[in-house]
Amino acid sequence: MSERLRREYVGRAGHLAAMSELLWRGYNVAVPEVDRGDDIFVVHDLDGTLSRVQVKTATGRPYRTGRGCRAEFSIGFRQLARARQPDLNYVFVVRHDDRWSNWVLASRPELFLLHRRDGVGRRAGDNVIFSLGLRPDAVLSNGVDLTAHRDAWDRYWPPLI
Amino acid sequence: MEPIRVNINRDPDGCYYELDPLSRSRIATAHPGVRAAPMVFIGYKSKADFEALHGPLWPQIAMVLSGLDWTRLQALGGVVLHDPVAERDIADVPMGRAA
Repeated sequence: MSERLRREYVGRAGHLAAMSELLWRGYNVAVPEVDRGDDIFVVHDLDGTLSRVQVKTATGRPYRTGRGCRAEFSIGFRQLARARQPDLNYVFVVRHDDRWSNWVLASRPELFLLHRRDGVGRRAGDNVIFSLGLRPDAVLSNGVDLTAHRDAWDRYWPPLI
Repeated sequence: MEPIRVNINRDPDGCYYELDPLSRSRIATAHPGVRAAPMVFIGYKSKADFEALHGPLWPQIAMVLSGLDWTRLQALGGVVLHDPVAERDIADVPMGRAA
């Protein structure tokens, strides 16, 4: 299988895993027919609230010493820098140890703040590359502690069922 | 002193405004506990309306986004409109425009 095709399979798998978690929490989900940068529309059926989600999937590279892995995600700078309503939420999904081992969630404004203020993520042309170090007890990126963003589903989509 | 930057994202139907993250951090440090709107959207029917309709509102937009009055914003270095994608300032926001 070509690298491009493999990435499509991996990306789609992470996408569906994120949709599964949202459904499990009682939210309805939809995939936009036209790709405008959103992977998933999440709908709170009772009050009609809509949120946008961009899923980024990576295969973790295991550390040589100790448990955990490192994973890299690429986000378009244009998307990261521009406000919209409803605003975008990023879901970073990591495949490691033959399972979805880590979820790291951040809203676009949060991630943009981390990038601009704290130097999280490095510019590579039109993209920003986020490199996450995922240890059992911490999530770090460029020395910044992102542990509060790990499995932070309840902050964005608290369970409805 | 660096001015407070209001990031602008122009869409076909209007503009989204938000504080640049660094400006938001500066305000939070200088005025802890201040409450402000995270984002403002103002529509327009045509691009020609942008300057005419939005320009006079920029000072008010800055105040809504910062939670500060104009005097406090001036004390922080004034306000500019900023294109976050091009990473450049595109307009000063003089209070006189609101008059």
